[in-house]
Amino acid sequence: MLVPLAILVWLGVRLDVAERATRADLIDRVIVSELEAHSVVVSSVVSQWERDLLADLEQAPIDPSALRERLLESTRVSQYFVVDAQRMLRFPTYDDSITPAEEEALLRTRDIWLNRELTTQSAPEQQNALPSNRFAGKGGVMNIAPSQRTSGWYVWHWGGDIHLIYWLQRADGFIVVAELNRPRLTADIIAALPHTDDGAEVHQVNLEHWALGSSPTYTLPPKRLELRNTRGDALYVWDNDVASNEVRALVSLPLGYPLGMWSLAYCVDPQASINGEEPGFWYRLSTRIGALALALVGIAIYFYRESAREMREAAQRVSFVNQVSHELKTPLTNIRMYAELLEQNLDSDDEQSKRHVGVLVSESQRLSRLIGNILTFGRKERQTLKLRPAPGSVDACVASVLSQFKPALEARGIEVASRLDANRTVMIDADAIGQIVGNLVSNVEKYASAGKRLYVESKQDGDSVRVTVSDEGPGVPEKDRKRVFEPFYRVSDKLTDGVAGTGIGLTIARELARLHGGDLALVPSEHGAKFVVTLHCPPAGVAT
Amino acid sequence: MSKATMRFPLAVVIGLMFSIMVPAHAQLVKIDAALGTPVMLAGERATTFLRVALTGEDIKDESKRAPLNVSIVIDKSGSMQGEKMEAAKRAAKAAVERLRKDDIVSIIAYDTTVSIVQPAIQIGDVKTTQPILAAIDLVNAGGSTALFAGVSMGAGELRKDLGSGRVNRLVLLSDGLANIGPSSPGELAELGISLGREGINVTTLGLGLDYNEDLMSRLASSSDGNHMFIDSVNDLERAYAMEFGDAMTVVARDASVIIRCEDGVRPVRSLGRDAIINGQAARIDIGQIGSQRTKYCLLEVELPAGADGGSAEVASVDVSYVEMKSQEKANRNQSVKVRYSSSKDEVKRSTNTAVMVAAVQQIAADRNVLAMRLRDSGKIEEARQELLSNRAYLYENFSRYDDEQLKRDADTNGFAAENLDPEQWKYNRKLQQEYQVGIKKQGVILEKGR
Repeated sequence: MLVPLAILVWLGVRLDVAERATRADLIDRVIVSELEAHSVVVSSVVSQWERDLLADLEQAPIDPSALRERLLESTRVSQYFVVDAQRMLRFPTYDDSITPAEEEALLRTRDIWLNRELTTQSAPEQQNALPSNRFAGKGGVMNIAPSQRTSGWYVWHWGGDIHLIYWLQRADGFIVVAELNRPRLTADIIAALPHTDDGAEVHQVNLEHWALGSSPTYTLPPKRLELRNTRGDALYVWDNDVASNEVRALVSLPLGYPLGMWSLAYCVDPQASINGEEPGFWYRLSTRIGALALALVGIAIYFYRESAREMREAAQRVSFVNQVSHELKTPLTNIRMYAELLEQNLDSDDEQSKRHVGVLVSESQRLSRLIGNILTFGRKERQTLKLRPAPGSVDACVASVLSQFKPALEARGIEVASRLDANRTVMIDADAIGQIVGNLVSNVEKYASAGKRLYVESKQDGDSVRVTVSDEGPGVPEKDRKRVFEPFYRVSDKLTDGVAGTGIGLTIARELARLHGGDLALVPSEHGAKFVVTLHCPPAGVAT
Repeated sequence: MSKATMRFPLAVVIGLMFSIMVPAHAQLVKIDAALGTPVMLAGERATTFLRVALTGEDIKDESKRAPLNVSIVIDKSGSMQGEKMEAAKRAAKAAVERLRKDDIVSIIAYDTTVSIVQPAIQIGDVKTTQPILAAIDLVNAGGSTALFAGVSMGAGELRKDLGSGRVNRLVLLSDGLANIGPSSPGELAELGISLGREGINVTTLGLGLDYNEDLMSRLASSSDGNHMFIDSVNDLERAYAMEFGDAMTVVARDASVIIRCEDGVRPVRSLGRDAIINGQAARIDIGQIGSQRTKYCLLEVELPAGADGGSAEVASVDVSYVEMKSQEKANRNQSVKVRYSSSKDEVKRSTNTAVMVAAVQQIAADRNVLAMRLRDSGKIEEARQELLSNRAYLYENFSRYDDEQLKRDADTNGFAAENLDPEQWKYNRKLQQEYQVGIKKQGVILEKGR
């Protein structure tokens, strides 16, 4: 009982884990698509900037004072730089007219204009040179040299966040560079993203769910969408339904280039689970186990029905045979009788004929036993099975059966050993006892020929007679011991491979033994199968 | 007579009629370019101040003012809860009720997130302002302070109607530290520069003692807006009224001054406003000019030595601005001359008081900034000495020029000197920031009822 329960629990947990993984994946996809929609908005803002900057840089004057004037009108550029065709920084330069803002700008862009290798090798006046490989460096940010490209972005870090440059190499040979006003870009992105209307709503996500064919609606925990900078700080928050100030990002989507260091985050309360208001783990576990148990019951019913169908079919088969058996019995009895007569009348030196007739006799006996079984079963089923006791000896019956089987047993190389000790004349149904013992010996012939030995013992104890039939074959597995007496039950296919039979032999044998006031039991044995038949055999002349 | 010859005189007649009907540019801005000492002592090189003051003409008829495009951006973070929130809502509603039919208003409220309480709407497009007022009433306080996003959204609403000849103004109220989004004064200043260049002035109203005055004052001054320190909720409504009053009197925008110094004259530095000095030329932007309000730029110049009785051209001053009402750009020019005299008395007598007062105010404001830096670095005693010395300097000039502004500034510096201890500094620093921005940009400041 504990083992299947443990298996159920284990399976339940496994199911739960697998399902949560599947669901997490589904939720992930739903959230990512939501974030992607916002990411497109950000990209469109950046594209607009790019277009405007391109036009701006194309027209920008090279003259410092004119460029300063232009800067005073620009809402997007915080500083212009001009690099000439010799990669020399031409504006701004450290001269008398430099403004404090320009000095600051040169300080924060120092690394862009100074190639450290060149500084150590070149004269100071060349320190303003713009090496082309500076554009090419920085992890693929500008992986094409300006000579091959006419414009592009340049991203660098300074003071804890990204700084953006957009540059244009013009037909006049100048590279005009604009350092962007990042706060203004941030503000434009924020203004393009959704604002938040008051009144929180519950966000539900419909997910087609694979388990048990249902499609439940998952309630995601209260969310908060964030635009995050390089450090992961929120630049902007919208759709906020999270009560607490602390959140964790359930899904994070990096923005497109050049804002790849920034991201959009779908955040939830740090305590919240993905399942949100859904029932907890134990509830899910118990429902999983319940569902699993139901499935197992279903499977059991299926197999039960399947085997019941097989049994029904077998019973029908027997029923049919039962019908025809009456018709078969008379001709078979004649065949058998004449075969036995022929056997007795044959010349003792005509061995070949004797052997042929022996086969005839033996096979007709087998056939009549089969028919007998079927007829007996039919009577049992119709509850018309009755015994007709008559004075006789159990040993005589047993000896008769053994003699009948002798040729068949010999053919299979089975050595018979018997110790019979129930020869008193008692009231018995000789046909019934013959049938019982015959079925048992027949089983040995069919299933235990590998054991090469058949033991038959009989013992009389007062009114009770005990007949033991045992072999040294493979025996009956523990689990099948009770069921071998069920009609049409077959022990594993392995054992019955290639063996025909009706599957009712032992059923009838037990039924007959019980009718005879005793029983038939399979008892444990060191090797092989051991059947014990008990029979109530009152002395002859005493009514029962 | 052909049709073409008929048309020519007709066009001339119509053109003449218009030129008669529209008076040749009634000057909406009065320009006064003058030296602090128009008469200088002969025989020596000396420096003096050149002030270019722009004064808006009095628009007597309120209906003649330029329409507004204003965004009211309200802090509704948790710290605003209660009395502050209610007062802010009352003040915003009172401001909305003052608007004219052709004014445009938008209302933004921010906490952790930003909600657009009222998208940009022209007052004349609604039957009554009642729905707008009702929307303001629904604002509830709670959450963090996404100040940057609030400004971003407010600017977004203003942007819908930029270039419509309106006075674009974003009025930001905050009572706390910006804790979501960019929050350094430098970043807000950069945003302010961009918005200012776009034609959006951000006025910042700091409420109580917990807002970041550096952030708020830099956002305002970089975008040419006003900065006010409101220490009592009772002053909120007055602050909004002053701000709207200021916006409603704007007669010109994008005022810019270029001072071209003659040979031998050296531009030394600009006081108060930032200047781009390129050789002999200095460009200084002034922004908006209000009716009956004076804004100026002040350039310190070094003049060459001159002979007694002689005179010389000092500079040519180009002033440009856009008139709000007509949206026409005006370009004006004035030249500034100097005379030389060997009489010290004549030099003293001819001193231009207004220019000298402005110069004293600017110098004192710079010294106030220096004192604040000393206090910020913990040098309380040095800060106190600087402030007391500044007060003495202002009083001295007050007695010389007899201008009340100097007395007021002297008192402010005196108050600053007496309130440098930690428990008073929080209030005092906000007051000093407001004073500095007010002096440097000649903006509106809120008279405290102290």
